[in-house]
Amino acid sequence: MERSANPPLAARLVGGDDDLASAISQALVADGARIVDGPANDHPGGLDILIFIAPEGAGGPIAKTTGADFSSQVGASLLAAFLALQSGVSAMRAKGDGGSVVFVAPPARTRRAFDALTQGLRLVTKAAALELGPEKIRVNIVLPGNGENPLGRPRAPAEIAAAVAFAASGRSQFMTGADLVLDGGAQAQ
Amino acid sequence: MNGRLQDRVVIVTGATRGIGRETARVLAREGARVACTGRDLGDGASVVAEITAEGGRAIFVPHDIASEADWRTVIARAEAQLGGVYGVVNNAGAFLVRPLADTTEADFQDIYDVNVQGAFLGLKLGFEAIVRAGAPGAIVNVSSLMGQVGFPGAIAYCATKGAVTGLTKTAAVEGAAMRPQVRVNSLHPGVIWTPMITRQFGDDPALAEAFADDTPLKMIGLPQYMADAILFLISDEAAMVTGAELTVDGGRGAG
Repeated sequence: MERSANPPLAARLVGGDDDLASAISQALVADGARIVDGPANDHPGGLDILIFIAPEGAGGPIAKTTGADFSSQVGASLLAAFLALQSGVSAMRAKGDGGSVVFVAPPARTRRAFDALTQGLRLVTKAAALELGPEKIRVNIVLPGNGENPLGRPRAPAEIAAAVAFAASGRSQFMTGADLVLDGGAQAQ
Repeated sequence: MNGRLQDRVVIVTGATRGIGRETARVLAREGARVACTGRDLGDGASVVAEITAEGGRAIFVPHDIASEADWRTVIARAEAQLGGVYGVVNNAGAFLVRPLADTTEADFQDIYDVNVQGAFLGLKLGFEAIVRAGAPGAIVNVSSLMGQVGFPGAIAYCATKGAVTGLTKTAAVEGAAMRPQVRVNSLHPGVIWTPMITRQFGDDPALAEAFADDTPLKMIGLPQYMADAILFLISDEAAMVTGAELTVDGGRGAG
């Protein structure tokens, strides 16, 4: 681990349905973190780990997507991610001990306008990784598939959680700006 | 205590030095039985001694990575002495900094033999061995950040590491269709301070600092970081991950 497991690392989760958020919480706690609730900057002890789970959105073809749909599902989520990043990073800076941010993209929807959210999050990840690297704040993104894949296995919250925990932990201390693709080989073909 | 790879047999090529050596040690600490391969017999004996001293299990098998006969020997000895094969880390690599104009056909062939032919044989014979073992397996191919982007003066290295990226995709899709299934992923290290780098540029601490300063995280890349990433990819933690490129480069490639 890059930092001592005692006291435990403070981790904040933003978003996610109950199954995924709970699987991620369990994985982080198993790795020695404690989950803190509420706005990140409410925590005088600062923050070590921020997980932002983007909402899945309804998806759909471009022809049937209204501007309001796009704005609420892509624009609003990207802005929420940006604001979570900003407040999380400020709580990490308060502690001055580096940190790890993990974005979890919505499941891949090939050729859907909502992939703009995923690609937007990827570039926010890379830009933040470059900017925050000197402060030892790492930023990575987990990209889950949609359950249709060569391995023929559904996506399990525990497997997404394992990747998030890896990216959050000191086991990935040299990894920043990276894509963790968990799609059972869908993008390889 | 059970490790993440308890009693699973993993072949690590190029395990005598650098990333491969550290990977062999980390996998062994997680309970893997490791077949370490490489060319230097003395380094091979010492990595096995290190693992054994830590309570792990390992053997060393001399290995010309581009020789199919050697690969068959490596796998036969792993099966006989350690058990059915779970995984392969195709780590052995050759590095060359030489501009296109100065790169001879022989230079290119030498780098190709190690980086591409070696990985191809590891995938082909690794698949066969995993099928014989009868349980799902995993293979990690060590490519490079330079297998994802171009780098001036490293035409043979970039081309052959790019080939490893491509080998990985096809093998992943074929491995997913096999029974038992085999997951295949590539790791893309940035600049990692190993003999591969120091033989080319010199073992100069000032140069290591310069590389660190040129990396967004301002860190010198250590073999340990790659070993941890390989452990993630090869273990069940990455059960949904196949055909993926995992870049661990201190952020060098993010810009």
